[in-house]
Amino acid sequence: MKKLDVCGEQCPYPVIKTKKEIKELPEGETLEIITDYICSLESIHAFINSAGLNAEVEKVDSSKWKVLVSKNKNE
Amino acid sequence: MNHSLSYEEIFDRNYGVLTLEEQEKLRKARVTVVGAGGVGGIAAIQCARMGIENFHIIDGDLFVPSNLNRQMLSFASNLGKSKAEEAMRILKDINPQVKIKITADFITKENAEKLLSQTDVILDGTDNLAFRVIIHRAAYKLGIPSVWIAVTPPFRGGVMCLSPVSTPYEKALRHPSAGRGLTDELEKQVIAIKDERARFSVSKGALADWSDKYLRGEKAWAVISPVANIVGLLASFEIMKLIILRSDLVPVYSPRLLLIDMASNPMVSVQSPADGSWDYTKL
Repeated sequence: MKKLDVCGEQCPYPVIKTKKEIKELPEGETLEIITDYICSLESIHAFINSAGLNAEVEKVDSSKWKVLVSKNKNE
Repeated sequence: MNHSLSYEEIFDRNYGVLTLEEQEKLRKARVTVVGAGGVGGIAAIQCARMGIENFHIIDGDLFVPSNLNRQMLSFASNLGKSKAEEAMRILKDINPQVKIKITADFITKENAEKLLSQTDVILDGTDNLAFRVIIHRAAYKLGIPSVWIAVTPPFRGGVMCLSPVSTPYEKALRHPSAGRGLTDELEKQVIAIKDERARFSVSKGALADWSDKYLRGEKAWAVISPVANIVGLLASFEIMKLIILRSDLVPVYSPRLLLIDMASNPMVSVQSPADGSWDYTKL
């Protein structure tokens, strides 16, 4: 699984980096994005949905979230 | 609707406040709005309603639910859609003749000068302080006036015009990056100014609980609709001043600042900093 840690980074850097990673993500692979900024979580989530992909959000602690996104071959 | 709208028809009520020559200046002017959010969105709407017909809207973001509390271009019906594309649709619904270039992407060090070059006024409606430095540096280098804004909890804000002959942005707002190359370390220091603003805002009445949570990344920047929108309205008025250039209607150039505090009297004032620059952490 590929990992992208954008902790400590403010909008819009996390979205810019997420866009780049998703573009380069091979079919069938999963990307794990870690963010510690709620504003970025919201933007990343909206971007993933708009790209027609599914985002799975998991709260790691009170201010850290893990977002899992896969490029499923069947989608 | 079959009726085809003429420019004269739409902007008939501007005459008397504006001369025909001034209206023509507005019609021909090119305005670039970076960030079609809480301030950029309403400012773009006001510019279209004043008769500006040439826009470049730059925003790589999509509308999300938390935009609905203040952003005039956001609706439940366009959540998830591109802010730049929605701005184009809405501005064209105000005046179908507007010509809008959109860039559904973010400004970066690499693309700033290219994206900002073909315009007469730049509105910086972004919220990342490092990006703002990039925007105003590019504007300064290109010789194009730019408008800076701030929206600060609980009820505060600011608007300031910059030009190649007024105090440079980073000097006017006392940035550690002033006159230096924008390294990653300096970018971090610039971004940290916003954390200081969150701390200081508590002394002005923002909730300490919110400030703590903002600093931990659990809450986004706090803002209510009328404060963001009055900042956007005032910014659009400055854009108009920068375009029509009437001798008795001088833009508020740096280091002078249009200060907004809706909890004070007066709510809006034009102020000069005591020692030539502002402590941005207190704005």
